[in-house]
Amino acid sequence: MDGITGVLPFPASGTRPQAKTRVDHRNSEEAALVRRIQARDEFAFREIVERYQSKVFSIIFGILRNHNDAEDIAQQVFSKVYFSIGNFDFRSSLLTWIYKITVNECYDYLRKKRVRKLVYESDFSEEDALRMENSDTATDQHTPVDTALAQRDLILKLLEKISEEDRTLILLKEVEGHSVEELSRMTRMNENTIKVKLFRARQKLLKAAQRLNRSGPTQV
Amino acid sequence: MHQPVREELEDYLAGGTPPSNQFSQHLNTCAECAAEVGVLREQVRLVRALRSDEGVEPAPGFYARVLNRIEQHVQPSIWSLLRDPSLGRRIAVASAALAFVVSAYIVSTEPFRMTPSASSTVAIQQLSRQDTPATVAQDRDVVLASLASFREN
Repeated sequence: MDGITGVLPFPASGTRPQAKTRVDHRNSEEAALVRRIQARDEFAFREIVERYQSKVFSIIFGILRNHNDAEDIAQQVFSKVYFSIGNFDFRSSLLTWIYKITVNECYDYLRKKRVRKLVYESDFSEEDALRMENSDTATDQHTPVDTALAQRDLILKLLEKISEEDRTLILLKEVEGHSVEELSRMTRMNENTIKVKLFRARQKLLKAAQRLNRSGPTQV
Repeated sequence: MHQPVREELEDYLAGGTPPSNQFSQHLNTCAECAAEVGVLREQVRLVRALRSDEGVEPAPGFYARVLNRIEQHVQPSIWSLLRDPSLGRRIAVASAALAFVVSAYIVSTEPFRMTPSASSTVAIQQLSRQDTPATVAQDRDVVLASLASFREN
């Protein structure tokens, strides 16, 4: 007699392959939180701010490399989230939506303040320069700070030339490190569509670099 | 870029799974695809330089500052304007002054009505119907009668 184990066998050992399910952004826990914010529930809004403030801040800081500017824009991002949450249609994840707002705010800031020039001027503090020199993102440890700055300036300029959607996708893939599968879940587009969009966005960046090269020498 | 490379491009650039033999062999034989992949790898390197360092956080009290920012953007309603001490007082004073002026105008233009009593009204009407011209004494009597019976409405 095997007892209960004969009647109810234990589940097979090893990991069960996860079925690929499309996330239903309308019925998630986060969607409930969004609906509460849309109903002007301040506690729900506070929860969203506390959940994403670090992520938003690090995205902005990665682009602008200035703590004060990052703080200012991060506040603006969440202010925009508060006023625009009524337009959120659950077609993507909330993080994807907030990410798009964040990147757009950064680019609005860059356009208004012409920070690309200010990067070479006094706004870039010694602390920021030291942080950049010691940064792990520099693959070549002999890359001087001014070359790294020029390269960062170049890529920001190129990213400005492509559409908002392409820019968000490229940044989510390369800066945030999401896989194609994760992007598919976040954006509710299938994986082939994501791959095609990424490929086209990369081609547009290359074309933008070529146009920039024709208009003047670029140091990369 | 040729199809064998395009299909595996994202996986290759992500650097996770090693590329297939088909992919590697194509790159070895196709200079055009090899050059383009090289440029894309450099592009990826530049974009990844936008990654932020670990441990970058806003200063404490961030949520309070967000609320301040929101309050600055909130459009004032008519009721909040009235609650504003200086503006509310001015509006109240202006409203009172306007009400006073309008009332004064209405009072000043309304006709002053005198309604004599019924008995004296009959007497006055009888006197006025007489064909013979009234004597001065009768006229005086009429006037005295109407004045004596005058009642303001």
